[in-house]
Amino acid sequence: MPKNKKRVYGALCLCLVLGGMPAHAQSVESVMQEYTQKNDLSQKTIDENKGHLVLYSREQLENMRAKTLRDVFKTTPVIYYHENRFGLPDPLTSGAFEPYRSNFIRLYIDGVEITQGWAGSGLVLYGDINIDFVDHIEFYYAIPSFETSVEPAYLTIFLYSKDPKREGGGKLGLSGGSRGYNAQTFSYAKQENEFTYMMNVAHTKEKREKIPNGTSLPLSRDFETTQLFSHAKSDDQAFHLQVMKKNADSLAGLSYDATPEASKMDYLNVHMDYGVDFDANWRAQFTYDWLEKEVYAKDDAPLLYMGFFSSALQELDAEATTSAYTGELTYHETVGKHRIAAGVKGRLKQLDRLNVQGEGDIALGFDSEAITSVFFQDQYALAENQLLTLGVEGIHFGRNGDVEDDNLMQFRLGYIYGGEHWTYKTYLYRVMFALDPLNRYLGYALSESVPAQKTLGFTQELAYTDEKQYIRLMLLLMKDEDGLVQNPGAAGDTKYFFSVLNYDYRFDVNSKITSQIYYAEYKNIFGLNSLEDISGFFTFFKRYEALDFYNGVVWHRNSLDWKNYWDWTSSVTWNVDEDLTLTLKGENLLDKAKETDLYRYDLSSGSFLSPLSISPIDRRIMLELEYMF
Amino acid sequence: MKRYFFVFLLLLGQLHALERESTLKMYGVIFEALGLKAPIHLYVNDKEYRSVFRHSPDIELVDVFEKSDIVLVTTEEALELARRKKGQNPEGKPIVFATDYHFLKSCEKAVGAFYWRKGRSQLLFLKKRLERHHITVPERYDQFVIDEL
Repeated sequence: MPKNKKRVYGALCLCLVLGGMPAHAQSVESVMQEYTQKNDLSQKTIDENKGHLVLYSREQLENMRAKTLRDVFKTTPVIYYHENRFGLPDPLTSGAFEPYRSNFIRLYIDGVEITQGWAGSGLVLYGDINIDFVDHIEFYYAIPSFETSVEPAYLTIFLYSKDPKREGGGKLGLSGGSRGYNAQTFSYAKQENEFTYMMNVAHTKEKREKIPNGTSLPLSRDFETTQLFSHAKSDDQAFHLQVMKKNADSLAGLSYDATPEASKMDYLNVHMDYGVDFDANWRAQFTYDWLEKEVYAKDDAPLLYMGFFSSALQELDAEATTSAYTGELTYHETVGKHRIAAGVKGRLKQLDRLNVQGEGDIALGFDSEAITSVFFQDQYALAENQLLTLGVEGIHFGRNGDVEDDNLMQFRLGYIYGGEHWTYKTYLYRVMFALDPLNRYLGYALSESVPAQKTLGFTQELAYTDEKQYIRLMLLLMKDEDGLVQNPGAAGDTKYFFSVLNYDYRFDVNSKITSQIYYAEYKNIFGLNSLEDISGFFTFFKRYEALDFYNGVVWHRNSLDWKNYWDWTSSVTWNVDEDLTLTLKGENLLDKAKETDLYRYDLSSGSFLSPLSISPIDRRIMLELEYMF
Repeated sequence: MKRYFFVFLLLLGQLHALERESTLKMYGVIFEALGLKAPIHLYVNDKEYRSVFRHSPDIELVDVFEKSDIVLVTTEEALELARRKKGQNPEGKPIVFATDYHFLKSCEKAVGAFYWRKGRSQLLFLKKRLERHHITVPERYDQFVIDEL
């Protein structure tokens, strides 16, 4: 071969080798990426039939360095994250004087509902929990499958725990940040021959921003929580035990004008559940939730909600314990193209004890609520890529103490198309909600007849997915008849329209952007004839050698004042080695995160004061360490 | 990908944690890197993995550790077994490969691991341990090879 030809040939070979190497290397990476996507634990739990899903995969939670449910909630459209006048997670709060508004947001851990029984949804306590034990999170809008719900829901949040088969061993996490914030987590998980087990303990001392209220005693919402999450699972059985202790300063608490002299709420919660698959068809589940709540409130004016007890009460030192027992029996069968599920569920909520300092134990006529529900659901495969789903559920709420019962009937009809890249879903439904016990006591006279709310909905979703990108448009149209949280002076039923547009793009295995735009229009809500709400977010993740960079911005504005709110979160993580990581993270760095109004009422003048504008997201810098062993 | 979308829906709740197609493809890549050729005699005592690998035409599951070309360590029981067994045959077999980083760290015989770390799959080959088996992984795997832990 002539010398020049040899050189050209050699150069060509070199080019081919050099050019081929990255292609080969990429192919190994792409095989790994495919493995990661298809074996992500979320792929085992997602049920497309449950409706419109917002998923936070494990990888995404790690990229975001999300440590609490609040970190995730604040980017979830439609609901987002808000706290009420007690400093409790209450995304649907209006900022007015209602006791709790988010009872119809239901929270599940590993498919089992966490409820605070008499006090309502598990969100009250678990809305801002440490999620160190969590693998991934699913938010479902509208009505999820009747298979999981005992009571009706607007939004259902599913937290799924880490799998000891993948993450055996121990992990220690330490965090410290602004104002003395600190958190410690410890977890241990192991796979034995026939079962797996896991325990996770987290302690958080939240030192939060104080809220000036015009007095020398600004409002405080500091809290300290200690939580245990544990489970033992085999192929056909699962047992969970969760304990949470929370001591909290409760912001405005029971003070009408948000100038309490003291405002504290302490909680101790225990949750246990046991589920067993008898065979491929039958499954049973039993759940027990217990809550002890202590309230101490003092003001220089009569306290909120205490009218039914003593109209001039200015100091309250009370303790209440409540229990909730839930049992479920479900049956699944596949007959031809039909997948049928049916079941019966029961829940008993009890107010075990109410003690008021100076008054002793107080017996109330209404101290028990029994809920029974029966459901039937059919998923019919119209074709290989089309599914028709139909569900119906009847629920009976029986209450003692001469308080009226409720009978609810819910329907859902859905159609899903799933192609190689395109997915389309549409649902028609009617769901009913009954007033919860807490609101019945504190918001209404017990003898008052409160009609159940009927919500009618028509929703659609169109999505496109390929290896690089994900695009989705979601449209929800809803109407509430006989809204439970009454709308004073409202001209008609509450109606709302939501639209959410998502766009995610993965440049490569180490770089990804996610974005979202949300627009909503409400009629007759919060005492307003019309409300427009717009928001969006943009996140960017980049891994460069041993460093991970994350930046995310959440933007909000609404027609109340068309003011722009920006919540910028930024973090850099140094993966020192496989076992040790260090993270520097900043939250609400611009100190312009969304604020909501907390309404105040001056009893002496009988007039409303200017509301306090409060953000549930503190500005905070944190340093975190994680060590796995 | 979505071809079996509704089959998936209808079978929901009965699935194993490992997705068969992508798992076989990934381990095909790993076994190729280790220079193994069909039929590959695989020892794994984890029923989840066994239920996946029995669908591979290139893999024969064996019940005797010593008769295998490669041992997949997925549990502490298998880790103990791998530690207990003395040496390999003259061809350097069986090769020990782990599905957990800490198994790789605590078992000197393991030449590499494919494992989960914070929601991502990770592949590692240890050069010095591979050399004991006279294995040289192809260059395209270089980014997954490190000298030692």
